[in-house]
Amino acid sequence: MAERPVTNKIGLSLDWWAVLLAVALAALVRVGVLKQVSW
Amino acid sequence: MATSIALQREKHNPLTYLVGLIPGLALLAVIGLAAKWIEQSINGYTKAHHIVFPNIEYVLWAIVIGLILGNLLKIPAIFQTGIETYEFWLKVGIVLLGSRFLVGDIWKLGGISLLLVFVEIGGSLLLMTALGRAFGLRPKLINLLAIGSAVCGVSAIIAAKGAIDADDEDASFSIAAILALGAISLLTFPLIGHLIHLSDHAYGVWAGLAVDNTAEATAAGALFSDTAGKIAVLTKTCRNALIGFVVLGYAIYWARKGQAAVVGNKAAFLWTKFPKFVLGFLAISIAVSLGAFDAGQIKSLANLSRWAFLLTFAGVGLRTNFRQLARQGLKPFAVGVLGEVLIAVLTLGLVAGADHVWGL
Repeated sequence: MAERPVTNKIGLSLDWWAVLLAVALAALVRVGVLKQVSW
Repeated sequence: MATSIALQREKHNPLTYLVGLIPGLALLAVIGLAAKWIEQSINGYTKAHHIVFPNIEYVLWAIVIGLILGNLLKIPAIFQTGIETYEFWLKVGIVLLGSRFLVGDIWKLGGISLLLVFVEIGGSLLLMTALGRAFGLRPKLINLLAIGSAVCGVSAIIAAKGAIDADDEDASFSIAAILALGAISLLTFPLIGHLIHLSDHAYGVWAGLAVDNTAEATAAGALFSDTAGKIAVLTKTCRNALIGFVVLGYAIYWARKGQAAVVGNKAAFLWTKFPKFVLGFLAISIAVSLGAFDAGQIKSLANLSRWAFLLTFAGVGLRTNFRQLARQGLKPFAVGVLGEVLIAVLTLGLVAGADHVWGL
């Protein structure tokens, strides 16, 4: 799966946005804002 | 003209864009939740009534509901932008899935997978090229089909299309063939895996090696078992990481023939084509391996990954349109089917060999 050439005003690609969101979620879990996410 | 300018303005307004995502995202969420509810309801009913019934994962229900809605109804345009985010959720899910692998696991399993991926890519490129020539397909169409089946499906075809200056028609032929085959593999791979009693690990490696599109490879793995899904993603990620090298090779070949633009800076080309979410996957795995998260937090990350995949699987069903696929023509599809069956057999042999040597 290659990186999509789609970028936005800030110049970030879809891949980088996905990484940013995932890392932000991981940080929220780490600091305890997101607790015990159930499935 | 005025409409097109208005649309462009709308496209460049981030707030309008984000609001436009809501209907499609809501549809993905409703399908995903319905799938989860069906799985739990069937399990609850069969348990309560002491009925022996195989567990049908939510993955299958999400894909089936999506397929029914997408093929029997005309989904209004207002949903499209949100539905297209399924690929974004796939990447978010893969990065978060890094939490379920310690770096040592990635080193061992990733190393074996990478070795198998090299053989698979070489074999697939040779096989599809030979088949394409035998069926008299156009050279660039052969290349696109070969890249799509060897590396990573639709995105690889899109990446290669620009690099080798292929026609739109050839690209849509190849994409249609790869998507149709992805849909078929979702149904056949788990059945074959169970029939020949593959272990979770061996099946996961096989799905990651042989199913072309990342979303379908993830789903085909998850349909077998949770562990198989995890391993399929790791193997597929190794395959994805090599896309730049394959596309670069073809770009240089066509540039030498004077039928594509010359590649200037090769390192920059490789970096552009490299899937960046692989770095996120490794970063989360390193953080977990270093003890940055406790057991409860790791479980939360794994569950967040599952939620992201839930949206992905709903999108896979919705965007698979059989009527559109049927319109794309028989010859490339025949090459695709033949090639994929042979690749599935080849990779199954590879996995059996690796299982024998390393005990997957």
